[in-house]
Amino acid sequence: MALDPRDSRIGMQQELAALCNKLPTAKLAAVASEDGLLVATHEHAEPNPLDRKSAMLASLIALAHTAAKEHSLEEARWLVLGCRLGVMVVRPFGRQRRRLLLLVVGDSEKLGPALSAAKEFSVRIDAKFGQETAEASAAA
Amino acid sequence: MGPYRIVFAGPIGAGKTTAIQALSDIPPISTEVASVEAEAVGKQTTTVAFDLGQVLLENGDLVQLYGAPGQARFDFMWPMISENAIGAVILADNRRPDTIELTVEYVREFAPRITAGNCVVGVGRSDLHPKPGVDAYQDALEAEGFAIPVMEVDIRRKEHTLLLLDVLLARLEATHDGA
Repeated sequence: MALDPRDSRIGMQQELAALCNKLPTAKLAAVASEDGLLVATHEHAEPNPLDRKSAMLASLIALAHTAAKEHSLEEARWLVLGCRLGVMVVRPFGRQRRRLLLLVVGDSEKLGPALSAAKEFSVRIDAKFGQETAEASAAA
Repeated sequence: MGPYRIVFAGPIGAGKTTAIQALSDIPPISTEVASVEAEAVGKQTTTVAFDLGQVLLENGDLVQLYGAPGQARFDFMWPMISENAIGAVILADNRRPDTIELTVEYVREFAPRITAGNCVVGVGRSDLHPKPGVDAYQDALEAEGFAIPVMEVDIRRKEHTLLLLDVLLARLEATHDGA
């Protein structure tokens, strides 16, 4: 039986909260759909159709894919933005439906652990929710 | 001369990506992805950054065609796409009950960003949905202070979309001649 979309969204929020707990300098962990709709953050699980931050993620990763293809590198697997006060990591994931994980860490020295934690998260979420996360996105 | 930049804007599903695909001399750069709103908007994919094509006009001018994402959550892209644009094609979808209000909103949003407010409205799908007519669009735009040409188009047809570009370029020339 498929999970109720809201249940899977709450489950994803709990996973995002656990991800943040693993990284002491994590400021934000969020999942958005590929077309820029928020699915859940580490703090809450309510989607917000007007969220521009999720839309910006979608634009960034779409441009990253386009740039990667221009250089015959196929699709982008990571996008890392090194900023003065920290690092943003965006990782597309999802077998059934593509989604985007955003991890914001307030310490640029922690890029390695952030990449590793983001990869673990996306593998675990895919295994745990699979089709259900697609339904959560569709319901958002 | 050029390259000049022309922006295609309008609501999701109005045909911006299709118009650029029909018009571009090169395979356009596309940032279309699967849409989770597919059922609600009646479209499986949506543009999340921009489309980019180009067309070489008969007079030798190179025109870059930028397609803006339609949803308001992507409005941060609109100023970037509109920068230095010499014209905007606002595409309307006559299937939508709120098409006139939406069109006025997009004109209000894009006209101030475009050189001399040079816009043209292309009304799509009027073959199957003839109402509202072009006059209704024109009246609504004029009531808001926009004297902008409105034309029925089939954006899948290159000659229709080229006509929209011709109108934009002619209006730009007229503005320069009058200055």
